[in-house]
Amino acid sequence: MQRSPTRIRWHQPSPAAKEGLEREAASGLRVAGDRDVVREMLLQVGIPVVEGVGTAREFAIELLKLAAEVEHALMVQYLYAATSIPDQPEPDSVNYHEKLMDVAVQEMGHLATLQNLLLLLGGPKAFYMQRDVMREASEKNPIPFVLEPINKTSLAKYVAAEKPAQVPPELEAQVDELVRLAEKDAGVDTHRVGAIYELLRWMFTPPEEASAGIDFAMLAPLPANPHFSDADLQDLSEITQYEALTDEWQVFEEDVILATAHTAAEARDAIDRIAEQGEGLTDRSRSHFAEFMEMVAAFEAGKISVKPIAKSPTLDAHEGQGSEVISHRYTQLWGEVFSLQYNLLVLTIYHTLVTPRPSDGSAGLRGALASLALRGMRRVVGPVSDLIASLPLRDDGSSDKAGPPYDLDAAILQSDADHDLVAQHIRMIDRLATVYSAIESSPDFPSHLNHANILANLRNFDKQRRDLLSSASPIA
Amino acid sequence: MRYRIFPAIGIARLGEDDNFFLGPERPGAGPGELQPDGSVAPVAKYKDATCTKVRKQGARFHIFESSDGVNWSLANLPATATVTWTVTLENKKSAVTRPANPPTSPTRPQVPAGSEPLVIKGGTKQVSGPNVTSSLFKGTYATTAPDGAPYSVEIELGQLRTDGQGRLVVLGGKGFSSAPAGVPLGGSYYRNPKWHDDVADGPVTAEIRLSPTSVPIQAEEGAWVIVGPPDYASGIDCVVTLYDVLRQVGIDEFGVPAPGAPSFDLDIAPILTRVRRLRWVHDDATWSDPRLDSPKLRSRDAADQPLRDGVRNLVLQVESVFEGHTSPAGPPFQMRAFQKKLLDDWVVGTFDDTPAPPRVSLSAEGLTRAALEGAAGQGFCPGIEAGIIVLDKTLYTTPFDFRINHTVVSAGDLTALMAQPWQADFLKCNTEWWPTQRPDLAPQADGTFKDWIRGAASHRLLVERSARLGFVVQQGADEVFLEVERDPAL
Repeated sequence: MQRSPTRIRWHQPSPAAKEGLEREAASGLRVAGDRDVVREMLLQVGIPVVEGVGTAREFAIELLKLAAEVEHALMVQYLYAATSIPDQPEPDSVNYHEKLMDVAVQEMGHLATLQNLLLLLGGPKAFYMQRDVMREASEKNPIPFVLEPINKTSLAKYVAAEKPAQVPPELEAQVDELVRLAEKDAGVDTHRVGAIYELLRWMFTPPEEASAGIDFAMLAPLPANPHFSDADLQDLSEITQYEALTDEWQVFEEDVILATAHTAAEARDAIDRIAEQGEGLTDRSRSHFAEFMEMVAAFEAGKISVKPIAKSPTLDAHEGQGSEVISHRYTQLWGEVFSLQYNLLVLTIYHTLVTPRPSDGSAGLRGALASLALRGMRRVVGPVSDLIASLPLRDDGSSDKAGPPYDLDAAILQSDADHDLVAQHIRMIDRLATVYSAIESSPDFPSHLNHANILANLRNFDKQRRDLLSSASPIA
Repeated sequence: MRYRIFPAIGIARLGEDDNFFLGPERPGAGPGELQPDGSVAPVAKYKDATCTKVRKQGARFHIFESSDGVNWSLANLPATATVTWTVTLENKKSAVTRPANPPTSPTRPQVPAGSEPLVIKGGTKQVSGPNVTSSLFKGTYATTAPDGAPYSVEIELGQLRTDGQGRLVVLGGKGFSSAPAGVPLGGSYYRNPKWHDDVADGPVTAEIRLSPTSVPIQAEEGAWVIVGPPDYASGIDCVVTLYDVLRQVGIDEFGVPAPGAPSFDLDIAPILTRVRRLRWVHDDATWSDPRLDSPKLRSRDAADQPLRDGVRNLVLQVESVFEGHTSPAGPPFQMRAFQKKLLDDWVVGTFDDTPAPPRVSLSAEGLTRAALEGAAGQGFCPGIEAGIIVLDKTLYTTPFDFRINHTVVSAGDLTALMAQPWQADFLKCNTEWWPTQRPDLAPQADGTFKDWIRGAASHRLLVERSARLGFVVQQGADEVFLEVERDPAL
């Protein structure tokens, strides 16, 4: 169930608490290592504190939801950036489009893993696929939602979002410059999601182990009993009915993390794996941080071709900074197609998650919905993105190109009831049918010879959705 | 006189039914039913009468002769001549060091010390004379179950036959994949430890004696055979075939001349046919675009250039629809450079529209081309019959004629890094990979389409039931394909 937004505040430890942290570090009683990294990070960014909740469970669930929104937002921004790079090897034989797509897919894995952690704590009611709700309500988003083609500044923002607390010394100067560039452009401090993951990890750690590390309870106002044991978690039978699995989502590559968690220890492990790959505390090779640093170097060397697509194109104003409204009528129609298909994709993923898998091992409705979502990712989002990126942004005759507007309607995820979800699917595919007809009636349509085939594919895809829902639900 | 074996690389396919048919021997002709006189007729059935066993596809090899080493014709051997064929087959899939994902560049397989029991050594067989059958290629696959219990199973990798004229036919295994009880399957489309299958590959040689007392003559450089999974839509070829891939290797690495101005019938029509026929196994609307059916496509009229240009763009859509590799370091799906040049020439009207006579006789070049055009050359992630290793120029003899160098390639090498087992890849790689070998859709007689894999849509089920799935087959002379021979009980 997608509840009303909760606010996240970044709490700065009191001077006394800071002093305690620094004194501990200076004592030399411990071997320096990751704990120093955490200390440094906390002093920089503060502790994420959830306001308006009572229990540790609620607190952790809200943190997981914020993390899910961040992963979702980052994924979409990476997908958009990938749209701005041709899908082909550059002269240096590297396909930077695929590189970005890989990172985006890994973020999908993080998002799916976070859903499994939400399930572990809150059951299927806790699944959460919103992208903008908590971020808009909370201060200091880890990265504002801006859709833009690849450039030095956007790469700087991705580096800032994904950089570890402990940057390799040889990269420090360069990273500092990139962070300054990112913060200047974004207008806000860029924060690391690692802080959220570190607190969550601490909450899944037994008190006796947690006491050997940094005591978050001394640094920020946290709920009572902030550590989860296995007894606090959802029943295994329920978890296995709803958890996202690699087979179900056709996760082929070992570098895509889609972790399940049935115990507190497994939850910690899942968090560690996500953090290490993306927004972790220390750099590992092939982390997102490393990938983006590589892309910065390639971009500065002129090795990446970039298509000049719009910045934050939208059909209506959304939270993104500097958004450009698509005013060319034909492009608007395709923009609406894209937004509806994207919303359907998010809805389908959510619908999949909240649908239990059959006990007889068959795929059932859940499997069919997952297949539909995968098909949407592969066969719809990509082609329509590329189509819109080739169309004009404005009606003024300028050559500026548009881009896919990832406008997400938060209302589509307000209910987890099956009949409500089905109604949302049907409403959107009914609207799509109208828009397709408008596209075909447009005077621009005949000059785009392949758009008819793309519409045929979309209609076929929508029919598959309608047929699936009709067989599963009489109201469809 | 010099002698060579053609095709340079033959393709056989798995099947439980020993009543085999032959793989394609003339470009565009499809597989053939071997006749008593050695000729071939179109294949009518791909399975046995129960529709539960797939017929093997045999790879037939011929001896060609040449006096100049350039022009090769079917060997006209004296009546006293004998040809002794020798073949070795191995399957190394379970034994080799296997990465988590398919290699992104040509990789020679390595069998680490201690893994030798996992190599299925079919051994070496010889046959000579007409209508001869060898003993079976059999090897042992030995591993352990999760509880440590030994697991050892005998695997058939194939058999040799000769036809009425003494030409070699290599048959493959039954399509048997297994693992010890308790070993999971499905965690990966590529790497499922302790699983084996029974594809194979290996060298083919021929020793010719023109008379019982004459000095034996070795057919130059030999040939190679690959035993791959069944091709469930054999009349529908990949837009980029294994032949196209190797041909481009020849152009890029060995100075093979790139093709000149294309012949519409011999060069362009086959590409268009492959794209058009995708409509029977894949649901992208591009393949059903009516422009692909236009009779004006062979027109050189400048007024038809926009049509040709539009159709070329439809063809190039394969690069957007299909995947090359899941890794950004892997090769994207791209048509070969020579294919694109042929299309470019066609668009501007620089092509020969003279109707080409049908290929009724066997030719050296045609045998190799026909064999390899039935195999997948796209999506080497890892591919179907052979994978990215084929881009390694050191595999080939020189001058280049698609021939594997026996001194640097061992039996089992070409299939070693293909999916383990092949059914794992067949299940997971739908929609953007090889609908021409592993259909996404199965066209029905009433005009509808069904999921081809229905009834076998899990790893275990596909291992058990792959032989019961239907084949998508052309019906008559028209461009209509239907699913046939699916087990009605599936």
